[in-house]
Amino acid sequence: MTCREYREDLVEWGRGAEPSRVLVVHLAGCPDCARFLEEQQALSAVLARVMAEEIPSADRFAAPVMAEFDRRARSAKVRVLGWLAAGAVAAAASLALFVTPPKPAPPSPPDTAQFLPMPYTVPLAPEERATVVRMDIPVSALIAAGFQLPATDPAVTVQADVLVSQDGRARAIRPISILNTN
Amino acid sequence: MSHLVERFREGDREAFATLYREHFPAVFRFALYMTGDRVRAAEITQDAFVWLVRHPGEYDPARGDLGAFLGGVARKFLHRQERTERRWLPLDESAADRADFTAGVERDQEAAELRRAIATLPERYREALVLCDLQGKSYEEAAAALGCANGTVKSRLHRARALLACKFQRRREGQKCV
Repeated sequence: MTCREYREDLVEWGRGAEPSRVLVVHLAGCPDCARFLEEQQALSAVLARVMAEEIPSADRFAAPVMAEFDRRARSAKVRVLGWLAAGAVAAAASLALFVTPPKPAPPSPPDTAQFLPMPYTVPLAPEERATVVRMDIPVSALIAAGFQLPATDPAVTVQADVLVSQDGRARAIRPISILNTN
Repeated sequence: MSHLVERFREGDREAFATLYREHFPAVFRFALYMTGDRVRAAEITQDAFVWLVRHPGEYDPARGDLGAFLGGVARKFLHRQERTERRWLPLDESAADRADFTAGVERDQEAAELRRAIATLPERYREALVLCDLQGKSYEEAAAALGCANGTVKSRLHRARALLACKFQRRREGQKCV
């Protein structure tokens, strides 16, 4: 082995490890390695003194750290209060919903069975959406649309619900009453 | 200890103060040995604890003790500071010699001189020396802290000691370190 190869073991020896017999024998005949070991041992001694140096008290530097802790704790409290307030609002809203009387049920869809299909139009498909519009319709308009009506005064107006399909066309009507404007 | 950490996370001031007092010496020493400067060591130590306050959920007790975690945080702050300093002022031997030691009269001039010499070592050697020889960590613990192999720590430590012995011993004897 060369001196360079012994150096690793010499460093460990200098740090306090037990040397091997081979190393001790080498050292006895190698002044350079002996000096290297002396330096390492001296280094360890001063390092031990460095480790023993006093350091300042933690309390001396605590103020900014604790101030940061307090600041975070305060903002956390504000956050919690904010969440509590939001929770209270949500709870109040839920309670209001709970105690409010239910809205009336939406009107049921018209019973198309009572409607008279408009002549010459395609009837509504079963699932087709339509709206019901109540309007006053002159009898003359109904006759023009193809309804077979007994001869009456064309000035008479019929109030009826008109079933209007999505394309805007009247598909059926449900007469409600006859208004005589005369 | 994990109980204290839990209480600290729940906002218990006294628990945090206890953790701070308990871990301050190790973090301060690590920063002091790495910088060779008490003022900078105090700053790094405060930065590490303030970071902990701001990121209480980052520490996972299952992955190691709080001391090692804080050492890692301090190390990151040191790297950041040294990167900034390198940009403006290379940290050579003369710069370290000019370092402002505010401790006043050093009780042990030789130890202070060695501390300054340590501060001039390349960072990777300095870290190995500080962790193993000044903080008493095993090669395994130092390797875990530095994120490298045990053998790497050992070779860096040996290189650090060889450099230090050269710089420190021979300079005192008025010899050039070759």
